[in-house]
Amino acid sequence: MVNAYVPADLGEALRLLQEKTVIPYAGGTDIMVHPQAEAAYLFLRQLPELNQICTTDQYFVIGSAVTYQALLTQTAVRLPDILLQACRQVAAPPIRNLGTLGGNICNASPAGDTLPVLYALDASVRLARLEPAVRDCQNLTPTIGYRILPLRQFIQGVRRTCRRPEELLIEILIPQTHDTLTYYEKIASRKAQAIAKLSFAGAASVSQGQLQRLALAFGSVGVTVVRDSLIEAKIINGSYDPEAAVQAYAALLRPITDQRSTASYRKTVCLNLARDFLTAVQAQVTAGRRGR
Amino acid sequence: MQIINVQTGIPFILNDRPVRSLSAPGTRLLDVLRQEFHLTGTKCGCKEGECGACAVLINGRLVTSCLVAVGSIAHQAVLTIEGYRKTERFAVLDEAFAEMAAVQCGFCTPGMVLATEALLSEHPHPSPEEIRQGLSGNLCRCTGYQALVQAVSTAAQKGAGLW
Repeated sequence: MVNAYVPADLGEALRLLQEKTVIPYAGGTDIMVHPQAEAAYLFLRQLPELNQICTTDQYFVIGSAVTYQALLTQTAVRLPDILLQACRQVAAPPIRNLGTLGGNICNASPAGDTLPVLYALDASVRLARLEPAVRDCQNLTPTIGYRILPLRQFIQGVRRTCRRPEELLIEILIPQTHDTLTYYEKIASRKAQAIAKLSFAGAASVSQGQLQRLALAFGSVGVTVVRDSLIEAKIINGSYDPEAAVQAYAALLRPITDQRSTASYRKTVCLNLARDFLTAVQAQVTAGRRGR
Repeated sequence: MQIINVQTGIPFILNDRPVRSLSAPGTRLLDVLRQEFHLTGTKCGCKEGECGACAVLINGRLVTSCLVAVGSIAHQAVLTIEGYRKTERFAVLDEAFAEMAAVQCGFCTPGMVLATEALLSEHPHPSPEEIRQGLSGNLCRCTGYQALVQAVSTAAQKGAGLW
């Protein structure tokens, strides 16, 4: 007989992760496509610690079990529009009521709808675990240890992250940048309930005709979301105009052909979206210089 | 902390009555409803959250019951079409769906009706675009959707004040 667990708080959840072999279950929308009736699930949705949305001086902090629908309807924090845009395009209402941001990350699908946006916004994840040193001291309150990793580092491949078995992804941290231009496109065979053939997120911050920050992230065209700091740096320092940058991305992107789309379609559309975005960025830079 | 298994069972509220499922915690809620509680109004279409035929309301929110492990809903309130059909709101939807010929084979209908309930609870006077959004998780292979949009619109008018 297999047990499942409904912890009351984060401490209990972390203790279970340390002591037992359990499968963290947040929204369940990916797990339940291939359910294991006998699996020892650790149900997380009810944990208050994973359901908060707040801001600090530097970050938007989103609990890992916050659903897409909760992100779209909450009014406490003014989240970046581009993130909400991506959430609106996830599946349809019944799945947006279940699926969570933390789940989208831990599932680590190359086609995860929010991932290109989170990459473009330089998001990080906060992981928690019980500190092993005090695990067996019953008189001590167990301390929770944390580590923060950039999302780009956390996701390592198709459905692969560097979460250790005893760790839980508890928060997503999004720097409060002041992007003057953001751009998101999901290309799929229909508007709702479709997995992306490809997706693109762009973010730029232009101040007085100076490009301060730039991010281009491509989804569904590699084993993880593709972002290239070197190309971005060359655009920022003026070595690449939009066309040269598009050529650089043409050499970088190596999508595959599968049941959803073809390599050449994916690449062509990605490059078109990148060109469109970079042209808009350049227009903002030019307008800023004129206005100086 | 609560430990749940087939011996403890999983207590929840089903159509306003307290029940206890004795299925394994990882079992799909869809299968629990149909096989354990014999509530076959909830339909099984795809088992991957694509079609919406298995949609039910959990705490008033529309979800695809195929993607819900029964262990995850302990102490929560599930409403299926069998529970909803006893309501005044259902009577309005029933009439509007019939009047606008929004039902043909009927397989998607329980999910469509519950999606409509969720939609009207949030937007009592939805625009056609909001209706399409609200029903976007439910596939219908018969009607071509226009009849459904009209049925929801008609229900919103005739049932004004109920939502």
